[in-house]
Amino acid sequence: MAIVELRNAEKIYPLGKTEVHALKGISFGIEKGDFISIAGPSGSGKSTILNLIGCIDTPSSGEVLINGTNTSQLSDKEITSLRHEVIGFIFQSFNLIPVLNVYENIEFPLLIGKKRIEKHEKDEWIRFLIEQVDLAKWADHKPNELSGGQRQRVAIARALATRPDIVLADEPTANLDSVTGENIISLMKKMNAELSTTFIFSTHDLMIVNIADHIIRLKDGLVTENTRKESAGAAG
Amino acid sequence: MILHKIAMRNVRQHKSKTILIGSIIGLGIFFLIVGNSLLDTIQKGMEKMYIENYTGDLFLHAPSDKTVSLFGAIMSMDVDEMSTEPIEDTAKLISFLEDHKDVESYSPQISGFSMLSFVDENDEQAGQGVTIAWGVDPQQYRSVFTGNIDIHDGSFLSGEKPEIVLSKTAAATLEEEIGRTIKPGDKLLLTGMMTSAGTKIREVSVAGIFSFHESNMQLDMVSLLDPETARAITGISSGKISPAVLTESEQDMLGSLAEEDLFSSDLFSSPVLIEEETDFSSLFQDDAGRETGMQEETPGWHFIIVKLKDGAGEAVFLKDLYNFAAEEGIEVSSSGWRNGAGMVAEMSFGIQTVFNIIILIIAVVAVIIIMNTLVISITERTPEIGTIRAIGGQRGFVRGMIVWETLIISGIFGLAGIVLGTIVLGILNGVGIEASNMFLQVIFGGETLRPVISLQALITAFAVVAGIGIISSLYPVRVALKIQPVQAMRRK
Repeated sequence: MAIVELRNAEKIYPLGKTEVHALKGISFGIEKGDFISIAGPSGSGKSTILNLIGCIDTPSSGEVLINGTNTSQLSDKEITSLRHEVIGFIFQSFNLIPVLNVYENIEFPLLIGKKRIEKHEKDEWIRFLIEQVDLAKWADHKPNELSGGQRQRVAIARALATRPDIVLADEPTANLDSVTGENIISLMKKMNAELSTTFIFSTHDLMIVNIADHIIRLKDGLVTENTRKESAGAAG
Repeated sequence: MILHKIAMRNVRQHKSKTILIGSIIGLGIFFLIVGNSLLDTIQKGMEKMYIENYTGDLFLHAPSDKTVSLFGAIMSMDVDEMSTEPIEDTAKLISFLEDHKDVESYSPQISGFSMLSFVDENDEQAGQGVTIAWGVDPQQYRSVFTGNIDIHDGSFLSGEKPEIVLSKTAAATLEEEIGRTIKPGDKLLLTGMMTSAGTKIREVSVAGIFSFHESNMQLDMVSLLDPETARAITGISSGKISPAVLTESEQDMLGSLAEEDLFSSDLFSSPVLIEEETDFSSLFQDDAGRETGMQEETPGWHFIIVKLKDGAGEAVFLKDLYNFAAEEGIEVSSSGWRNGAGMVAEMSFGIQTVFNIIILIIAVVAVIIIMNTLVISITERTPEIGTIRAIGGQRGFVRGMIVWETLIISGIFGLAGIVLGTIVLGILNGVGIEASNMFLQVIFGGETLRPVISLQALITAFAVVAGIGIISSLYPVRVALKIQPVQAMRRK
């Protein structure tokens, strides 16, 4: 079963008296452990797809299924819990909590859920994530004391804190230089391999697109290409 | 825990917002605590002063639609409207008070207004003044109020003859008019000012000049009279049927007219036309009631001031009183010191009401300012709140974060306001606030006010801090809850 499935998903945004068809009825599935890139030019619908998969927006028509659950049928509370337990987010602008340090930002998702974790177990897991993103020396620093690349690495660790099935990254390299961008994608790839987490990221950077195992290309709200490399899903 | 951590750090991070909101709250609480403590001190002082010196714990009076004070009905400008009815069957009530275990002492009293004129050695009248006349039983009065008056000249009422202990203020006014000092033994003419009671004139001798130990503008006008004279000038029953004995000066005022001159046939020379035949004899057939009434009347009193024993419950006493009154068919009411004190207490409570209204208006303005500041802050934090919602923060978490932040600011700065207020009150207590004019002297109940922090003011301050914190965060919370998780994605 696909971990994510879009069935004829359509999204229309009202814009004054007119409407913008961001997605014109698209369908595809994503398997567990995929490292998938959603590529396309600006306005092609990349972010809209991520919003629908991330359950922070709903389709105007069609269905979005996460682990087989139709997200349109969930209440706000249920959908928030689903986001908390199943999905991790990496934002283009990092979106770290400014008043929390690196350690606390990564710990934060674990503190807002219902699930209680033993303190030492939690600490061990956060330290592991900090090690993985190579920020051990910066654990006590606030986001404004970090570079863009470092902030995005914190965001990656935070996205993985709740051990989600899926991590969504909306143009994670857009605010970074090319070298740092490539490093971030490599890190995501590494985490994908080590933790079997499905990574879905949007980008319009061709070099980064090609690192992905599964590429979905969009144009004007329609899927123009849906290609899986032979090695795709190997992590899972 | 995480809520507290985020809230505390946001409070520190957004210093200008914190200082703006905090200053409003801190200053508001400071003024609230100082103002309320001042007013509470004034009222407690006034309460103690009136209970100990003038009104007792309560006073009994005839039922009235008007609020009854020891000075007459409150809020009446007309002297007649200020008059109150005497109590029914005072003797039975006094007997009840004598027997009740909770009553420490009591004193009946009559209250009225009187004009004063000085009568010189040639029996000529001179000068004119006004006094509030309280008719009291000298012994009873002194047994209830042991040290409430200072006699400046002469002595207290002897209880043996028509006498007045003249208020120092009334004496001074009269002295100014006549150009000489009033001494004990001088004669004064008192003219009752209740027109409903007819013009009642009595001559009294001055027993002494006094002032109340703790006084104010209203109390300065009070003179104490023997009860018989007080009854005469206020027109209430003396309980005796005695022929009117006119003093020489009264005789002079009436002139040399004989009774025959007043009621001679000349005065009614015009014929009286009676169209229908009337049986006048039937109107006066039974005059037994009149006779009985004249015989059974007991001396009238307007009030009976009651002091209860320490620790005695007023409610229990009143229950017993009303049960007794119901059994005996006596209509009686009771009032506390606040009513008894009359306009001065009303003025003080009025000031407190005005102060509280001002505080309420300031609180509303403060809430609006705080609310706006918080809304701006939340708008600035849209990506942060959107991110929290996106990564799984429930609405309750966001709500708690905003409310907790506001409560922390309110708490810290509110506490600062309370501490500052307490320090200022401590200083004011040490230094004392001088009443620079008569109005302030009336309000302060003396020349210097030494305010103390009141528990009520403290409780009010804490309630206001919590109230402002919660109310001012209601709208910002709504704004924050409207932030959708997708807004975290939109910031490019």
